[in-house]
Amino acid sequence: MRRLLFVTLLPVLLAACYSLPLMIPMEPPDDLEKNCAAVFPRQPWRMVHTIKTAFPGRREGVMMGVVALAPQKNAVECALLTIEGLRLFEAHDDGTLTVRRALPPFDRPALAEGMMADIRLLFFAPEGPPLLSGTLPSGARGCRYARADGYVDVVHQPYGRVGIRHYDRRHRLTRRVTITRCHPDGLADQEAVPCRIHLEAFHPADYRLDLDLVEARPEVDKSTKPY
Amino acid sequence: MSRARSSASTAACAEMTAFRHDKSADRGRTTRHNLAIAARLSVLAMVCLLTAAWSSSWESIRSAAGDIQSVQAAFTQEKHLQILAKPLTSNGILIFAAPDRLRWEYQAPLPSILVMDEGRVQRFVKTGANWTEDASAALPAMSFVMQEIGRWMKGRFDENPDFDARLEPDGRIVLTPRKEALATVIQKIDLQLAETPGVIDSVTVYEDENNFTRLIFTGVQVNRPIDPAMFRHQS
Repeated sequence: MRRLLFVTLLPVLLAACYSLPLMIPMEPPDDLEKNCAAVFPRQPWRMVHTIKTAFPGRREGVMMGVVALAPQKNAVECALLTIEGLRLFEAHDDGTLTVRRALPPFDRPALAEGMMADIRLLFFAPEGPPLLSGTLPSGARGCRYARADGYVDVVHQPYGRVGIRHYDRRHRLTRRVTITRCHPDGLADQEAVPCRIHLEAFHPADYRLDLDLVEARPEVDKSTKPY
Repeated sequence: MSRARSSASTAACAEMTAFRHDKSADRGRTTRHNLAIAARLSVLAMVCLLTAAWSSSWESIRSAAGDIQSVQAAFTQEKHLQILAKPLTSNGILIFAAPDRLRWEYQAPLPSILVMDEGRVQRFVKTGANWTEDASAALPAMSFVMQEIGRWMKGRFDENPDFDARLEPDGRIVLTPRKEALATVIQKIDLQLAETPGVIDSVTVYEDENNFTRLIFTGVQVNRPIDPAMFRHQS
């Protein structure tokens, strides 16, 4: 009976073990908070990345990913293509997710929501002011944002890289992202964009994505109007 | 290359027509000169007939393709997407060897090789300095496409039961899905045959009016020997 009780309570006990990394608040936080928000695109962009996927069991693949971001409208369009150009998936999200095309196996409902959640994590600043901003035990500075589905840490890493961590409401690490930003060719006067992205997903699915920028074009607002 | 050949051929045919109009004016010239011109025009007439004839019926297309043992060509691919202001451009080479070997190689922006050898389709992608085999979920869909390309290379455009094939007078073939399920994936496929018998100038795959992929072939070489190892990628 005691053993059964232990087994039943084990997940609860393990969940209680999860905790967010310690972040020591800094005063004044204003500049840091601005820097945290500034790592995300602020203007409309259309970007094409190669996406290398890795799933458990050494299942690896490569696709092309297209995103059209309209941060001011909180809207994004995305498409997944084979290298040969076959459009496997296309969706639009301006608060309401609309899937325009989803060929099997990209037609699973949870996949579209999960993909859009990843895109928002990578390209959109978390909404609202940070819960706190400060220094992590590693010495890196960053900001912590509270969201409906948990917490997001945006951390400035060495060599200009940006780290993003997503924790669920039970403080489990679900996504670990490293972003290297750059100015696309011929666009030195524009804001930097994510040109290399490494994303590790731990929960509920386990996978890894590596994105490399192929091209990026800033767009005037009217052309990003959802259709 | 085919387009350049097409222009040259058109000019030659126009020249021959022009000669017919001026025939009476040339009567005073020497016999030797006339024979030389006549010989030249005979060749041109044959070219005109050949280029007009091979794409005139399914039988003539199959017959022309029957003489093809291998084709290799460079290609430029334009992916037109409604969410992209400008098309996404890729390039590479396509190699076919009868009866069913195919190598579809992208050199930029992402080096990758899709090979079909005796019905087996594999894709390899360059990641860093190494080539890795791609096992993505998209591969079964590409397997379907590779089989279809293999069919086209043999001139069997009208043999896929999934598509209704229409041959138009200008050497254009339009494939339209017969079933609704396939039509949601591909609206139609446009193939433009080249002047050279057995050769395709361009392929356009329409997903819908605003989203399509166009492959334009250049530098086409027919019946050159091809090393079988080209269809077995080695990492």
